[in-house]
Amino acid sequence: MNMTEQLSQPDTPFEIATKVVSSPEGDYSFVVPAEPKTSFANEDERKRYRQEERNIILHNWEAISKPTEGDEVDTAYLEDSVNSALSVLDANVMDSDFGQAMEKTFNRKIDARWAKEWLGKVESGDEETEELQTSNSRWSKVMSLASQKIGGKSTEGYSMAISIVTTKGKLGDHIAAENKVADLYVDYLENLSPEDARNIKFRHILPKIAEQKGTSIEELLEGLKNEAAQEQEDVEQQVGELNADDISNIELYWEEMKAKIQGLGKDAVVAYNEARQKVTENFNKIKQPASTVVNGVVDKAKSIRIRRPSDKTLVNVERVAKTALLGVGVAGAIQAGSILTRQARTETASRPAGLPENVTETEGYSGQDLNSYIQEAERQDVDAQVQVASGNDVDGGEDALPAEESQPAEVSEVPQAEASSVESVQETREYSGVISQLNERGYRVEQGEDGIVRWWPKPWTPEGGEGTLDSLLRVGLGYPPGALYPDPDSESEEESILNKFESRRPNAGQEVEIPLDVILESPLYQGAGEAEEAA
Amino acid sequence: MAKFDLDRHIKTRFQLFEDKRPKEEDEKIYDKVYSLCLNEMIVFVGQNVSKDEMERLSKKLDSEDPKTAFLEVLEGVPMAKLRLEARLKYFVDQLLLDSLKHKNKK
Repeated sequence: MNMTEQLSQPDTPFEIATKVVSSPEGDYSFVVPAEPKTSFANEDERKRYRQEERNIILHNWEAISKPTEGDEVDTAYLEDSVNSALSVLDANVMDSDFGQAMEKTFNRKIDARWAKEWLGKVESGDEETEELQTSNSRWSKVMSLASQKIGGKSTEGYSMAISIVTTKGKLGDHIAAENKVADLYVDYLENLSPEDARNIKFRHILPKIAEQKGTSIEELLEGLKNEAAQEQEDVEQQVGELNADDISNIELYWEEMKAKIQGLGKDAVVAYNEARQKVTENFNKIKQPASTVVNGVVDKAKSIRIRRPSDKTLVNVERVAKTALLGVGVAGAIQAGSILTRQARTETASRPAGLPENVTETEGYSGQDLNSYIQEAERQDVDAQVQVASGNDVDGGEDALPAEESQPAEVSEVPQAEASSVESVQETREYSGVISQLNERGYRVEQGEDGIVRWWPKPWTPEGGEGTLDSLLRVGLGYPPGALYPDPDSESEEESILNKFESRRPNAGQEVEIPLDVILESPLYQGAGEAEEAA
Repeated sequence: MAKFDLDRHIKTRFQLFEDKRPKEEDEKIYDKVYSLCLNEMIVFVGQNVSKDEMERLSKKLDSEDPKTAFLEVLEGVPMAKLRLEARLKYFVDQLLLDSLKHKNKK
């Protein structure tokens, strides 16, 4: 979308042609110069141009953070929105004075942008990422372990990515050294006591490791790089001495796996035997040279790109779960819904693409595949409701099929949701008062026959904010700012209510579904309930 | 990004056909590595298709060209090529390290 925006100085009008770039998520639009100006007739023109550039930046900043006097800056939201928008800026804009000014204006958010790009790659399943993930799944293990042991904001994918990217930046392109650093993280996390885990954030791990080793981070990383380089040299020298008998054979491979599953119980052993039998059986049926078959398949296999599960899918999953549980109790449903959603997001963020969920990586290659194979078998018996939460990811990481194309478990869940839709409608009738109050406050909100409450934002004007989600939540439903923008450094797992919406920046007239719990947990609803009780 | 070449990757990693060993030994290693890759490919398929699909693959292997049988069953697997390539590349790298460990244990 392109547009020209008239910007003027009080006395001498000056125009900068601008355009609007939308963030990849479509949740924010960023105004930037259409063609950054680099040459000027004279110094006065340059100054006026710079002034207008500053105005654009200020306009963007205000549009994003909507600060009012006395407000704290919503850093988490600002960071998220700015980086999202920056990621789609043209290279020529980024290289311009305007781009550089923005870097200065938004300061460390640019670092966060790198992190986001990296995380985006990890999540997108593109070719390089797939390779990175598969060849360096140790970081995935680190992220997964950190989520389990530390939890909280600092271990959410985005925050963790910043720390990891910083470390990767210090190491340069050195996968072997990265592996060693990741191993140190794993070792540290595995030995972290629950008490210590409560007092640590993810970004503190590397400094703590260095402290434990009595060295600086720089020295630690340099040492690991040298160690990895030496090992690589040793490997190179030894490879030439390998002969065919040294190559791990199938029996050894299976025996190692068998040893690894001994402690996992009878079912695991049964699954192991079945898996082994099936693979061996199929292997023995192939009479052509293995190289012909493998290369033939690798060359001709197709990579059908399946879009990864979107936030929309997650929201819908949450809604299905909630609706299904409404008959049991609203409070329970909300709790279950938030747990399910969090679980689904965590799994999506932390699991390596190309690996099935719940893969417990063990040293080297051996064990990894059987574990996942066994867990695949075990997963077939898990409760269908749990599969609603993780169903998007059954096929493995980012490659999971979208909800509408997959997962019998999810399909089987839908009738349950439909069966309880009557209770859902009955429940939602109770907040019809809230809807009418929202309408009185200027927000166009309606409840459909399906029980879903929808909102159509009005066009934004300087006088009225009925067109923004921020306004709906704060002015309409009465949420305090802290509920929208929880402290990013807080240990609390509290999630921004904004994340419950498909878009933080809906366009005017766009249909927006308001999640049920957002209404039920709102001060407006709670207040109405208390008033009714009092009456 | 350059097209992934599994064959070249195996030869480079294991330093095959570089006159570091007798040619016969290189060929033995080459065949053994590919056998293990085939094994790994079957495990990959087993992880990504249903039990029924796996049964169908098993039957097809009795009569069809194995390449066709695998390709047919992989048609329903999202991003099969990408993931299979990455999987085999990782597998070959780890196999080399495992083999060196195995050799040093002897």
